[in-house]
Amino acid sequence: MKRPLLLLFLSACATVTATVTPSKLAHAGDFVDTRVVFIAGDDDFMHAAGETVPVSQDADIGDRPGYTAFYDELESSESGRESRTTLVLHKKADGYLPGVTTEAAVVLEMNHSRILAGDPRSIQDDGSYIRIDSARTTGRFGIVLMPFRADRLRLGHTWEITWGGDRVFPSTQPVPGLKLGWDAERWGVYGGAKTTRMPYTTADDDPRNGQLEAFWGLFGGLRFGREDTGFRLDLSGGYFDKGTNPNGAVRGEAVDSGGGTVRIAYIDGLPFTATNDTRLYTSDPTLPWVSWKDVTATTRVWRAAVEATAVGQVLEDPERVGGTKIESGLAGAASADVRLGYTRLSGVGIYRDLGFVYFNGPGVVRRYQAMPEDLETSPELTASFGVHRHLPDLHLTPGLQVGITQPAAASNLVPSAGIHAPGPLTGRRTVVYRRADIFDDNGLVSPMILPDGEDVLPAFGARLSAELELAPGFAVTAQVTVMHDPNQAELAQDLLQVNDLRKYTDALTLGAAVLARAEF
Amino acid sequence: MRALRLSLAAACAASVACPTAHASDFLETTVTFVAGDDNVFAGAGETIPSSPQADFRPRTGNSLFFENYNTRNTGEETRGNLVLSKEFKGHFHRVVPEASLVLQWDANRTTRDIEQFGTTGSRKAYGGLRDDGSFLAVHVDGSRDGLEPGSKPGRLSVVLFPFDADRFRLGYSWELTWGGRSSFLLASAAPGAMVSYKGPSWYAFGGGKTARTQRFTQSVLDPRKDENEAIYGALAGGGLHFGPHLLWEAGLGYFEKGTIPLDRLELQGTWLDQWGVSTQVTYHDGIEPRVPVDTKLLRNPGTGTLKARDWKPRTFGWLVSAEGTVTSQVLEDSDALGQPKREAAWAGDVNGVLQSGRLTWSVDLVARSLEFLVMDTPGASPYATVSRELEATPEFFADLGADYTFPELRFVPGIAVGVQSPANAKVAVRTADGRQVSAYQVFQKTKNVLGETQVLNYTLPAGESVALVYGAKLYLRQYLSDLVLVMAQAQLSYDNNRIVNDPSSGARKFETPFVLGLNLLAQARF
Repeated sequence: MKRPLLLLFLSACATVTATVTPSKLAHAGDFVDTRVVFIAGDDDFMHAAGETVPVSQDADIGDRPGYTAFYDELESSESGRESRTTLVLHKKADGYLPGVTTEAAVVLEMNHSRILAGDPRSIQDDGSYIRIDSARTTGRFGIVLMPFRADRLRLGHTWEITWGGDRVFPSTQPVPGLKLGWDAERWGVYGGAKTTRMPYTTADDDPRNGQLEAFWGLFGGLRFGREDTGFRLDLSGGYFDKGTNPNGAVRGEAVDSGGGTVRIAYIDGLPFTATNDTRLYTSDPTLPWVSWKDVTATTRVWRAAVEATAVGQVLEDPERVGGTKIESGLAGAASADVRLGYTRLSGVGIYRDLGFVYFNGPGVVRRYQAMPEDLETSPELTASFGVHRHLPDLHLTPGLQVGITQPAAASNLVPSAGIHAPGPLTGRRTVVYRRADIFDDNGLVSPMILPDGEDVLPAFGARLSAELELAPGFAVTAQVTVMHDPNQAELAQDLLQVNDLRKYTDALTLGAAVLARAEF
Repeated sequence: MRALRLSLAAACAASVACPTAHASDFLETTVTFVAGDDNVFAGAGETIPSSPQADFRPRTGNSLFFENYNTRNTGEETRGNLVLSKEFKGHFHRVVPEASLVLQWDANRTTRDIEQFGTTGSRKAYGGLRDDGSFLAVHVDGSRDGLEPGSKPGRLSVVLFPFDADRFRLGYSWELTWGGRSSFLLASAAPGAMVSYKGPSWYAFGGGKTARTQRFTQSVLDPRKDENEAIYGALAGGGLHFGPHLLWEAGLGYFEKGTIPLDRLELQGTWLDQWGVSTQVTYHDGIEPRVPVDTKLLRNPGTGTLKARDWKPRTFGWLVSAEGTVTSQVLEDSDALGQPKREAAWAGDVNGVLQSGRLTWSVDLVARSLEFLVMDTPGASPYATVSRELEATPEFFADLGADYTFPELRFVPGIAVGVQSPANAKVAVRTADGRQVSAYQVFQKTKNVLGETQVLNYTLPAGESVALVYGAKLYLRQYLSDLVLVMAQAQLSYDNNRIVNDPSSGARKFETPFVLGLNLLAQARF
């Protein structure tokens, strides 16, 4: 009798051990989406440090802003050269009610590149959330609560013209938010809200003056069509209370803003997937790696989309003391991706006027103030086309990316200063507004003043690359980039070394780099 | 039978409990609690460096001059390394890609940053985080054809350090290594790349580093003036086994250090550079040669298991290594202001280890020229050579240590003694009464718990010569588990070069040469 008991006891121990041990082996790690990038090269062989903006040192190891061309990061917030990881503490549990699933994650992004630079954004919440999901026979109802930062909840689709993120509020604080949605097979609807705290400014005798007050944003949208195939129409819109205007004559006036986005897309075997910028992290270590593993020589898939956004906000009217006006902004994008066997073709076009570029500002010339009527503006127009051909036997992917852009610009009219007008009052001056991530990754816009009397001109760029994939998740890339940007100017002294004047710098730059990139 | 069942139950419980130990992504985690006083004879402000009353903080003074010779650490750190590693399954035969993201968090650095934030309002708090050797690597393994079972084929590796290649250095004992981050002036990081081959009986490596440093120049027309410009370093070396016991290693390097920032006549903007060679001969029998842990690549095997100390009596073994380094760098000529001059520096040591059963002996004989001690400053006076009018004397020190293991008690007592002749520079001065006497400036290298090194220098009262420094330490280590140890330490040193400024006259005067430090330390490593 003793022996069977002992055997039973042993088998029970073995069962417990076997039950517990695999859970250790199956542990996926709390850090997901880790990327390490080594880069060596020179973004501009033709110029030395101090000759261009941004500065181009001699060739060395390390990232530099000059590696980013105007056609990069159009559909993502990242350049791909960032070394970073994300701590995701994630748990999912079935609810007490049938069909209900509960889920929570603390998501902390640790950007290694920024840590090295002493950037205070080195470690930040990257979308911690609580999610409640209820599956029904005809669809799913979901609630997502983001207690710290809801930047992933945005309006629009092509990253470069998405809006309604953290920066829609003119505050430096992260913005929490929530979203409720119903997703059926052929349609979906969602709505959400965000709140932030900003100083409340008013001209009235109000106890809230100067205090932090809560401000709200509301947004929602509709989807018609399947998510992953065929025609799809997306409509979305939002209202964001940007607080009160702090400018003297209109102090305390509400800065209301809002807008709408429409997108028509067609999907044939190549669905739009959530990017790292908009998906919610789980403990599933999903590789963001774009692999050719599932592609065959007979693959024929494509997708295309056209998107338009109109926004508007109430700002100070510079033509009318104490008055306000609505400043509008427009943006649009057209994109297409085609996979023909081992050939990948992609194209994207972007349109943005200054009203949209400075929607988050808010205001172009002065914060919280609309543009004056005598300001001539021209929108940003960018087009980019890329072709990549994978050679499966060599695991090599050569590629070519070309682009053209005309940055947004604003010019003053020639002032009427009389027949003997002093020199400084007779010139026409043009300011070019570029995406600041070409110079820095602070998400702001960098203005550059052209020499007097000059206008903005188109810039061209091309990049030739060859990516050797040594393993899924590990690749070495060599790239050569050439750029012709005739809108680069610097401040210099005249021949007398007395007056400062602006002059063009060399428009042509040639750069090259070798990257090793690992993602796991 | 009952005993059997109990032991089985215990085994089962252990097997159930073990899996709950999470395979951490943090490696080389050290938590240290220190309590004590580095100088019980003095209070705050009475000595240099100041010694507050006993408290619960790490102190630079808790280490004697010969301690921590082969590591960048002081042994009082509280830190962890987040190591996210992966070895990839490559597409190509025998090609193994690998990557590791290494982020070091240091609690003492966090405390320092918070203190700075509290006192200065500095918003640039790093939170004690820094890169500690992230790398990407591609290895190509040699063919196994014809190899004996158990033997490893040769491996060709390309290792890329995207942020900081401080672990990639020249020299062998940590305190004599060079070519790290500090070889570049005003550079916060020095990324690099290395190509290496490791075979059964030899290895070789070569590589380069770059850094960005501010460029100083007299020319107002030079667009690079005051801009950050790239500078370079190159290093190479190798090692060869002669039979099973003798190993010879050598390395050489060249580094651009940057430009002289001080406004010194036409010298501002002069490029500084440094070259040097290092070599070491090791004879070993029963002990394998070890490299400093601070130069190893950090990988995460993902097991999360504790590294258990081996309590078995050690087999007899011994190791002797002799190392020498010579470097030369361009500085401003102290005897011809405005002129550059190349200054040589040298260092060498002999290290010995002998183990037998429960007893372990170690001995170090170290010599470093004054110019070597200050080569990363650079110069005894920043950016300047040691003047010919100064008579420079190198630093010499010797130490002998022994510990004895009581495996059944998990107890290791040990003792170490050392003597030092500090590096110094002598100059002839004339006193107020017209006498010609010698004055000595003493140089001593220290490091703190943050991993920062500093060369302290102070001038002795005129006419007083440099004295030998003696130190002894007694420590009692009690291991409570594979995780935690507690240690009591007593250290006594006699240093008759210690001076303070007399607040009434301003004159330098000697302070008490005896220093007695007592501390308790509890440390967990996992």
